[in-house]
Amino acid sequence: MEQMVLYLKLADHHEERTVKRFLVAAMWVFASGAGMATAVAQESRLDVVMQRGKLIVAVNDSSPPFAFVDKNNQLVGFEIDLAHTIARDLLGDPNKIEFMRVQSEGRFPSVLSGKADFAIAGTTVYTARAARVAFTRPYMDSGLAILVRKDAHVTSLDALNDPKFVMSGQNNPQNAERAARYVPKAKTVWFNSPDDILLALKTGRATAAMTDVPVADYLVSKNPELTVLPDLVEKLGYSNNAIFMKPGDFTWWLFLDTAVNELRNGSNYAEYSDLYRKWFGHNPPPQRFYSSAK
Amino acid sequence: MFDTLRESGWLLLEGTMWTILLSLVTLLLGGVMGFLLALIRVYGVWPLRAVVDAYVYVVRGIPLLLLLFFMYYGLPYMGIDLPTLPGGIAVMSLYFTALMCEIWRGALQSLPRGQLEAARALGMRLPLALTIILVPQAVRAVAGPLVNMAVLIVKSTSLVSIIGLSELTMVGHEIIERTFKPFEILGAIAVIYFSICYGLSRLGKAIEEKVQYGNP
Amino acid sequence: MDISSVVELRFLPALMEGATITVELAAASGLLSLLFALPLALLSMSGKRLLSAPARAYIEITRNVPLLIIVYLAYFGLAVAGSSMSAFACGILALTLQNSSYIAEIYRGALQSVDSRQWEGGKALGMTAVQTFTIAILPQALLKSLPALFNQIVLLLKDTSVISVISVGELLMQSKTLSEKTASTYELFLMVGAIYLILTTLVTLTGRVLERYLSFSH
Repeated sequence: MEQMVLYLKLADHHEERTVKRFLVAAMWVFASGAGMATAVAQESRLDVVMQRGKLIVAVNDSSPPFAFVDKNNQLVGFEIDLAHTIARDLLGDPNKIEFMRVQSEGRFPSVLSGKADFAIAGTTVYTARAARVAFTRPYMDSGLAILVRKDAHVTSLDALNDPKFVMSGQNNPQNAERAARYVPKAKTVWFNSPDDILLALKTGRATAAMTDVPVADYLVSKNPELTVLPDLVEKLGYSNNAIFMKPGDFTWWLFLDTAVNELRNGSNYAEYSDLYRKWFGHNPPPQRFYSSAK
Repeated sequence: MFDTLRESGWLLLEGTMWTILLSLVTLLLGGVMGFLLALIRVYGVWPLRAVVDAYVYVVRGIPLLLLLFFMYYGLPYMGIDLPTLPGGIAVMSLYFTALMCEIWRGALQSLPRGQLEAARALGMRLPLALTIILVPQAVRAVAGPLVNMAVLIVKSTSLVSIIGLSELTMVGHEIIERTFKPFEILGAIAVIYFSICYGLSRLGKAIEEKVQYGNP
Repeated sequence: MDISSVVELRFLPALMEGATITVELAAASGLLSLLFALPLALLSMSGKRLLSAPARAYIEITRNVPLLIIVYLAYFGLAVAGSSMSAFACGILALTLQNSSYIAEIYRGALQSVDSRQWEGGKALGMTAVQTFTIAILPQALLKSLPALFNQIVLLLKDTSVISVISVGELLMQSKTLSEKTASTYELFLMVGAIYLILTTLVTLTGRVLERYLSFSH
């Protein structure tokens, strides 16, 4: 590159002007193609992380028990602990990690812009999203639970299907779809952040809210005026919460996917169970659905 | 209620400090850069004026939230990766530079044209005329709107939570999700913002009166 | 990231719907603020402490608290008090509460800047204070405040984005909903930015045209 510039500086003669112009054009083509070229020739995120010596992970800061902030302004939660495990297995030290606190609109751009190595932020896998970010296999099930105010005296999902009740939850089309399917007569109100949902329930702006099972359990344990409708997961089905990253980097994806698999099904299952019990109060799904006992 | 405040008080204070720090730096940087841009806008050559115009037009026409988002998450695509604190300061300053430019421009343009002509007639070149005659008068004209701007800056800092800067509003949300006492925390936040902003506007009125003193 | 992947036309209908709500919010609260701010300004300038103190207190409180907090108070606070006003109405209420203060200050500045000799002229002609005010002072003050008023309307348009937190389907809310579904935050925010720019340009242009038209007949 420098040699080309030097040549251009020295080339002063008329005859060489055409060559000069051709080289300038070539440089433009090279520069604009360089973006694509570097993407191909680029080292994997895995190498970048190893060289850097620490992981940069995008997380939520206000969705207990997955990721929230304790009295000392330290991030704690199930997802935080999982991230520490991955840092330990990759770099030898669980604290070689830097957390990037993101809100709902920031989680996809955090990895797409290259600022974070991956994100673990209570994100459910939906096919439309997979067109833009790369998900590993899920690190936990996302089952739906319905929180209700005790003073609504509601004990079933069908009872909520009434125009005098208001259903709320996180603002995404999947929740809107579920509401339309199961409680079409109820009014709906959607929020962008978890504390607004809490505020809505506490002030009566919402009678019920759709949340993840662990979130619902945690909120009920701390807010006595709320309760959970009896287990609806079988009726409403499971979804998957997964880590995601910028697509196109197979090496990095393979590493993270392997890490998640080892947590859920393999060598790290014991640790996974401990964390699961610590934050959710009960055992995780078994390692295998089949028994090899004869 | 006071238990919650007592145990979260330190965190709220920390968040407040970041809010104030961010606001001060933004005010200084925005004020100075806005002044420079205004000079270009009023006295500069046509191509430069057009560039400044376009910049101010775009920045003022889009909500600050979107600008923060673009500058923090969009710039990496062009190879510029800003860490959180400098990034937040840079973005807020760029936004308020545009607003301050308009204020300085208004102040400079409100001065009688005759002054510059008289200075020129005395043989002064533009920089000298500016320093001795025009700018001191412009500063007086700018004092009032500047205070409004300061209040606006403090209130706008709540938006930098989108890029993860732990200022007051973000810290407040984190505490609410830990303690589940939204009313107490939101009330405390409202009082803190009000105190800062009201204090600023009182200070501004005092400065404005002092600056007007002796000015017919 | 070439331009065709950035502008996704399939999002446009929903975004246009959002833009309509944004304009409705801004128009409704703008009109209400313009009306409400005039008595507010007059009260705050009154010589009588009993009248000016509450007005000044109202202005200081609503000006110095972030809009987000006012929105929260209007939506959640009122619910605690038993009201069930819709989110849209709460949004208009919150925007009007703050904007009427800003506009009241604009009115006050404009009224005070009208030459005091106008008052004397009115007296000399035998007009009462009210007559002088309505016929001579007020129109001049309004004309003077036009640039600042249009500036405030632009700010109001941008402030409507804050109302997204209480689940009103304005422009920003629509883009957040869509980006949750498809992870295409960049594309959506770019389109939303462009739409805001178009809206604010329309308002600014209208302001300039109006100013020129009214200045001619002066």
